[in-house]
Amino acid sequence: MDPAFRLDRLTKRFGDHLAVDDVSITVEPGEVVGLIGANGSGKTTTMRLLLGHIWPTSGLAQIGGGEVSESVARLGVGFLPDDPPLDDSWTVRQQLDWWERLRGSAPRREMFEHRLELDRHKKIGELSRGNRQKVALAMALMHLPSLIVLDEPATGLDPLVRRELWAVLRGEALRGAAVFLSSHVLADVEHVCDRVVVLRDGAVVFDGAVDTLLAGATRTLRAEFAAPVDPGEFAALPGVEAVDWHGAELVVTFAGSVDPIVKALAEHEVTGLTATGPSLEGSFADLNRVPA
Amino acid sequence: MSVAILDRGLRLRRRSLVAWALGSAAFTAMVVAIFPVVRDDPTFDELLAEYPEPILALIGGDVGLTTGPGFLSAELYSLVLPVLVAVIAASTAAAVLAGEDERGWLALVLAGPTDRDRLVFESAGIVAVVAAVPVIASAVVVLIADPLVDLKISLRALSAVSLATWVFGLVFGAVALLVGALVGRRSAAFAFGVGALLFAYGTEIVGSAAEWGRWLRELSPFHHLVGPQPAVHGLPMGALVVALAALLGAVELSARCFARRDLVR
Repeated sequence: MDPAFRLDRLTKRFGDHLAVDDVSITVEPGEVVGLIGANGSGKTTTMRLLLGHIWPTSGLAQIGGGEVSESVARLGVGFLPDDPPLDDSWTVRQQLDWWERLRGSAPRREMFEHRLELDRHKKIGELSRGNRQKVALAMALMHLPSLIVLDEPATGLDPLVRRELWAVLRGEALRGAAVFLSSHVLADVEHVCDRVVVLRDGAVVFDGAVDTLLAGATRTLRAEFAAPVDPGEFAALPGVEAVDWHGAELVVTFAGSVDPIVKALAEHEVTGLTATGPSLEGSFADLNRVPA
Repeated sequence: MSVAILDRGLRLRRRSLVAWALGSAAFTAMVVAIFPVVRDDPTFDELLAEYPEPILALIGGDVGLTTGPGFLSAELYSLVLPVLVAVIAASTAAAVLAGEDERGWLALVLAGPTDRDRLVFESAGIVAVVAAVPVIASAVVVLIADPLVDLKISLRALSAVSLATWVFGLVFGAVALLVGALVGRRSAAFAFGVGALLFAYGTEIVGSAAEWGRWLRELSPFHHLVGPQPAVHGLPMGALVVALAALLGAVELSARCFARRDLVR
């Protein structure tokens, strides 16, 4: 079975600027993959190369085994751009009617109109950002796509709609569609994605399961004591990367096992203790700290 | 075959199409309303006879003002309507491809199975239909006014001058479409379309007034499509065939350029 899409050693230069550097990503049907990176890291350029919006300087982009430049390869693509350019003078119904006509069929239109609670008679220009996003989401999904590409899909959505969006995408993955999304809200990516690809300066610096990325992430432990302690005692422990002393609170940043720190804490009278688990935010920051 | 892109382009322009039609019709109505005054006063032709021939040709007065076809040629079809159609065509051509690229709409559509070629061809179709609206509106007013003010213009002559005016305008729409396909910037596409119109008018002026610049007229669609006064002398068939072939070539070239260009957004 062909992968949902395959980017093979893609490179894109804009003049002297290397925007995407030898990127290879393969996504299988049913996977939900997040693409993250700082501003200018090449996320949007990678997505545009995947969709055939721009052409690579070198390398290959395939969707379902066909070259992206062939329109038939894009038949099963659903795309939700950042800030969708809808037609403001049309009603939601006119917009969806037209989209259905362009695509040829939309077997799930009614289902998504209902599920996303779209007001068919309202003009697009009168919709809030979140509701415009919902109309564009229906356009991306109603033709039963096999690859769903979303650029910052949660922007402007309230928490309830955002939760609904993630549920919809998980459902799409369960029926076998591949989902490839970029987001600057790392908590969202952590929540919905099985796998994450991290870009830095146009190159892939991590491609793997979210759990794998989190396993190597730094964590934080905050402890309050009845009497002052020597921070140096904790700084010397294995895995500890930084120690700060704020009043009666000790903040320890560490990677790996928490056991040596817990044992050291047990030597003192502890009046409060808070541990922060590994986060994608932290992992992402770690990856961006590592010299290229 | 679905023409969804053409259909959308026209539906979104419905109000402006009505405005262009009403505006062109109103202007044409004002022009033909003064024809009885001109027709019954031979001093207009006597006055024109004193003009140098190049200037007469430029203002379309070399066929006389006291006949309906001559009057329409001079007052409507020699400058105002062709320029209006050319500007509308250039503006529309800049909007349908480069303008839609800049607002990200092309990215949305081209992420699906739509061919880039199809997008260009249907966009050219939008330009062709939009440019036809003021021409048809004017022709309808002339037809209605004919028995009222005794213009005595045949349907054949009216069709000929309308067709020539439409094709003339499309030439500048094709320039804007091609530039839009190449660079994806609406302002640049429109500027080149209107710039080509100004160049065409400039070469016609220089070519008609100065012996040394005679050859420049050969570059001007004014000289080939408007200058022959189709309302009086019939269609300039050779020029029309060349212009249509150039238009088709420009659309095909636009499609080829657009096929390999990166979208701007």
